Amino acid sequence: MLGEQWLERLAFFVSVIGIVFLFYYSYSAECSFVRVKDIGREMLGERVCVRGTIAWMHCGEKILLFGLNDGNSIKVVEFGDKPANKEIETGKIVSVKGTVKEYLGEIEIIAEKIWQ
Amino acid sequence: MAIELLFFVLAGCLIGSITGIIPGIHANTLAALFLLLPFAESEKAIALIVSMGITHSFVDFIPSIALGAPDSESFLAVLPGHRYLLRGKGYRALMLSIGGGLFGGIIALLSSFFFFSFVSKIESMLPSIIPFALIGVLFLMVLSEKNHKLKATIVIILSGLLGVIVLRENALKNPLAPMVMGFFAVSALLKSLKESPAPKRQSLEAEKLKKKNVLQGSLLGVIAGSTVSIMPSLGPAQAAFLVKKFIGRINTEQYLVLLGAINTVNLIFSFFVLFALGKTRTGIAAALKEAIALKETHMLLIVASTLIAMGFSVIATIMIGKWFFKRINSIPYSMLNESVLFFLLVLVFVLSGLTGVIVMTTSTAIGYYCISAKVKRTNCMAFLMIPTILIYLGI
Repeated sequence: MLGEQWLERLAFFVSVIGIVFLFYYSYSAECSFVRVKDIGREMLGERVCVRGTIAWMHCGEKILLFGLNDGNSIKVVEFGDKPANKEIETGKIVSVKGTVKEYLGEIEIIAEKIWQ
Repeated sequence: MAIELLFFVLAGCLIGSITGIIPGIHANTLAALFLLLPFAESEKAIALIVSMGITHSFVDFIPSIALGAPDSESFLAVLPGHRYLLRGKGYRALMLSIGGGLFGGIIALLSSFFFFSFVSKIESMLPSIIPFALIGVLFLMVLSEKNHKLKATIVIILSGLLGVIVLRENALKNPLAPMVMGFFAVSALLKSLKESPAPKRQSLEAEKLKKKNVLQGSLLGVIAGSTVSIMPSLGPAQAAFLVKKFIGRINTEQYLVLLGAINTVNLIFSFFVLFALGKTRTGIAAALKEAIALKETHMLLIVASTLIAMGFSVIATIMIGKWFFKRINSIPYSMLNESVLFFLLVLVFVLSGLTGVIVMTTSTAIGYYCISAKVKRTNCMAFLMIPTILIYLGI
């Protein structure tokens, strides 16, 4: 016989399996490195990683803008009170993890993490 | 990111619980609204929409059984569920549907790979099979009526005509809601108001269910649910009818388990149909398709969200169900039904305007005729089947 308690325990077990899958998904889907030329409107909303050279930079109080070039260029935007990596300079090679967005008709990456 | 996604899964579960409890509000409607939110293009939308749909499929049995206010997917549960309610065993009926949803969902996930392969293989054959399969089901529905074949035919013709006029003319906003509510909810509520005695005091004792009933019912629910997810316009009601037709005798408890399984299984398999065929068979799958360009990796997120939502739903439905059935006897039952009726009327007016109310009145009349003539209300699903048949036949 299946009692209420049995169903609740099975439900709890199923939830735990789901949470494990969720963490595994987050870990494996964290980021995939792509080339700038492959980033298009079909990738809007996706999280990507791109590596390239900083072609130009503009650093404001709450914003960091730079052009990332790996043969093709894309604009990268980082928002925040204190944009990280102020020591990053034009000409340096960096990796960027962020989400593909569209702003005023132009595809750009809103950065979550920038590292060398 | 995992914590963020978990937050959205739990938010979806909470919203699904609310939509499940309120008769007439379907998770499909809200899923379409969520596409307007800023995070709509991300995996957060997947987590929220999937968990909302799964939770709704569990919780919506509470109003079906307790208030006699089902939607098109759970209306078949009203009759046996309502009988249990009148005997003071409404909570047991709910437990059976919960068992069906949980076990059916687990079996569906475990068999998903085979389902996915099967659907991919038959993809090219489907457009030619579908219209004739649906015509076959309509004939079977009429032939299965022992003494009321003519009345069943009348119901099918009237429902089909209404469906063709409303759906093909595109004259109505949210055309499905008034028809579904009229056929399955309002007609049942009117009947209940006219004839049903007040239910006995509900027993909330910890219910023990027979393993055989739960497992057999869940397995049959998986077969029925997979059929619904492949065939457009075939509802859970007809799938349950077909299973009962081909399998033979199913006891009431197995039948309630089967109904509990069908909705959850249909939803789960509709995700795989979306990936395999790019076709949407549920409103939730349609919202997913609109939200984000789905990749194969998203399947793992959908499975994870489904599992978490299933676990949450079982516990939430038990808690909400106990609360409901404890209080159902303290409110005059007819007043409860009248309130639900009024609410549905207002809802249809808001969703579809005065024309919607007129359509609902018509579908209510057909549904009420069905009940009075002792004809199965599955015949009313012709409102969706006949327009679908005509589309596939190119008429």
